[in-house]
Amino acid sequence: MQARETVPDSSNLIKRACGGDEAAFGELVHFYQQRLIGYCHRMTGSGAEDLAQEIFIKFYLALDRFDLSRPIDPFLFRIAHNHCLDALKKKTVPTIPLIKKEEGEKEIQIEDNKPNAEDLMQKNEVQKAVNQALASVPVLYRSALIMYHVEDLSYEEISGALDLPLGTVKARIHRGRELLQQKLQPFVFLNEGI
Amino acid sequence: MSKECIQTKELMQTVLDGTLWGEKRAGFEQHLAQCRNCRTEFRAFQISLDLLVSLPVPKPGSGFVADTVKKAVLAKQMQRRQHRLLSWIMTLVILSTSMLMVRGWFETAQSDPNRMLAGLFTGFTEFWALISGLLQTVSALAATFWTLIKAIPPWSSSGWGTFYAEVAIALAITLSLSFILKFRRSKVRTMIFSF
Repeated sequence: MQARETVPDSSNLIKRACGGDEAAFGELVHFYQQRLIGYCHRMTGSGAEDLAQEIFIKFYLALDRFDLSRPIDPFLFRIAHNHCLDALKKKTVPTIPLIKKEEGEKEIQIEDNKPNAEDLMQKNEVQKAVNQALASVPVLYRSALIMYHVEDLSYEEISGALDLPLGTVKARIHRGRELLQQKLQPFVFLNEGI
Repeated sequence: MSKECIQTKELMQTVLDGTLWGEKRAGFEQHLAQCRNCRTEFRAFQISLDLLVSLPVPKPGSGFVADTVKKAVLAKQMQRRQHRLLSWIMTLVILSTSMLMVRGWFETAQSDPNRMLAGLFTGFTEFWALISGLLQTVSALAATFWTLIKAIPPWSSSGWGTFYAEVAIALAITLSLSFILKFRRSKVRTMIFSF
């Protein structure tokens, strides 16, 4: 898990942004742009930049309602989650079974030299397979999984962002992990012997 | 599957949460070192999560921040305009209701001073008469729609030929109207954005 960077003096930036300071809002966008694009990409698989931009606009419009005593991440990711859900409802995301090999398709070959995840990611097939595996995990598990493992939000923060009890958040993350692991089994077996 | 394997499987999620420490953690590690199946399963969890984290994501374009700020500021301006318009409409509704109530009050005061309070509500009733008028319009539209349905030959006395002619004329009118409205809408849109 990556160590999460926190936005420097977020409440001051938000106060300034609420007062119409465009530079302050620009700083917030600059700080969160990569994280939001990453979240949208993992959630929807395409059009992440446009989605992230729309989320920032919604965030800007909702800034008046933001409680400055609370952390910014759950608030922002709540908007992001709802927006991605709407986007997914509008388009039909294809969910292709990972294990089923189509006719004429080559089997993915990975050298048995115990590569790590980053080495594996150099291969386009692996990226594609991870995207497909992720798309096949139901969206409710997927969002919790991404928030916890990629965005490094705590259970409490995810509970706030998704408006769910803590136990449900834990259950969704656990189930999400299991489903992702099952979908990515072929790559794991190729790394057996570790 | 042995008892240790079942216990280890149950602990895997806790380990992935990063909340298993001390003796239990040591026991977990020890079992993994001995059991190939559990080791493979746990490694599968780790690799799949590593793949999730290291999945390459698109980089934002160089003008992303400036473009987003510009669009957000524009959206805020639009939102303010909408709120202002809504507040004007609300003010107008409240004002007209109050006016009607006061008028009713005054009128009653002149004719029958003992029934002034009742006059206040007469005005209020007049406002709701307006609302019911709107509802009547909706029901009139529904009735028109029903009449149109009844114009289809199985339910009407005229033949299919008359029906086709009616449909053709109606289509021509609709297309012409939608063309004019579209043109006007685009003009309005240009005016709004240039403003």
